[in-house]
Amino acid sequence: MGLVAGKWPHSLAFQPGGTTRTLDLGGRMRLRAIIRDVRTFFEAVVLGVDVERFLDFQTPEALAVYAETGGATCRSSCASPPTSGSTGSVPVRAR
Amino acid sequence: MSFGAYHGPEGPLFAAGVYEVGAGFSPLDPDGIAEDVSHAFMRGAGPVHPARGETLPDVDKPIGYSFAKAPRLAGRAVEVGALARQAVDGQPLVRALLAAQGRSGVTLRILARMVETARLLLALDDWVAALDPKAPFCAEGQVLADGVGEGLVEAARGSLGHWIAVRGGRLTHYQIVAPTTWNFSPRDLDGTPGPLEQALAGTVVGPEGAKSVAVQHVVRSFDPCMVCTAH
Repeated sequence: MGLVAGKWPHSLAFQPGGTTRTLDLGGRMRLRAIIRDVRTFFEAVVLGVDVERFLDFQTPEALAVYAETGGATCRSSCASPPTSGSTGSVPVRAR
Repeated sequence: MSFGAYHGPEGPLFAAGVYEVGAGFSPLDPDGIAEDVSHAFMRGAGPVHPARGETLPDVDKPIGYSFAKAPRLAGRAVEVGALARQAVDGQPLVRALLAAQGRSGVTLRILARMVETARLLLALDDWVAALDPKAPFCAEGQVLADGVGEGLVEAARGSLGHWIAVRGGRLTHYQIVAPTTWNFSPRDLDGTPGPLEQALAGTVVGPEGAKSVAVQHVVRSFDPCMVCTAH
């Protein structure tokens, strides 16, 4: 947020209809790196599975299995199977 | 309730509307918003739309017990926040858990924030990829000399509305209804409590009473911001 709009939650530097400044290529790279870091933390520390896999849990039963096993055995027992692009429990995306 | 969030050329990422267990989804009608001050430390008559609302503190009001007004949608108390956004948007797990439990709750509110974070991380990748460094970074708007305005957005904590009126280039009216005002609203004229009071009813507190950590779990699950609430 700091790169485009100042501090959160009261982003006073936000303008109606846009951001406070333009972003160059370096700014875009930094944003991507920050998003990647947040995602890595969220998957490794909070979820224990990758984001796509977590969003595949669509029933209370699938969530219960994930809660019991951390998603380790969920692949075979979930009501809705994970997408083929899922990278298992490794929280790394090559971009 | 959700005002709809992260608007793009193809509409919002998270839909606007209202979702109720049993009744399902219905479209949002902002004209149905009205604020009641019967149990707030505020003067004023009857529920009134924020475009006409006033903020007149009355700290000695005998039946007042909150500095928050009581916003209602079509006369009903509604919960706002990540859980409401995901339920309105039709996120399958949130809808399924709501149906199974029959109502919102602490675990669901926390889980909905995790679901929302997961969905946003995917969207963020696309938004950064779509950034064009050569494009203008801000759309220049024209300032109204006379007129009225209504701004409805989803803030992190839930639905946020600003209502203004301008005469001769100056603001003559400004009302804000913040997310926690919806969630922590006091009772209205009919005695209907707001979402927090409804959620606290029936909480098992044990010998610690109001100091029970169970109370804290319920209160904090709404992600409240009391500082933003009184106006």
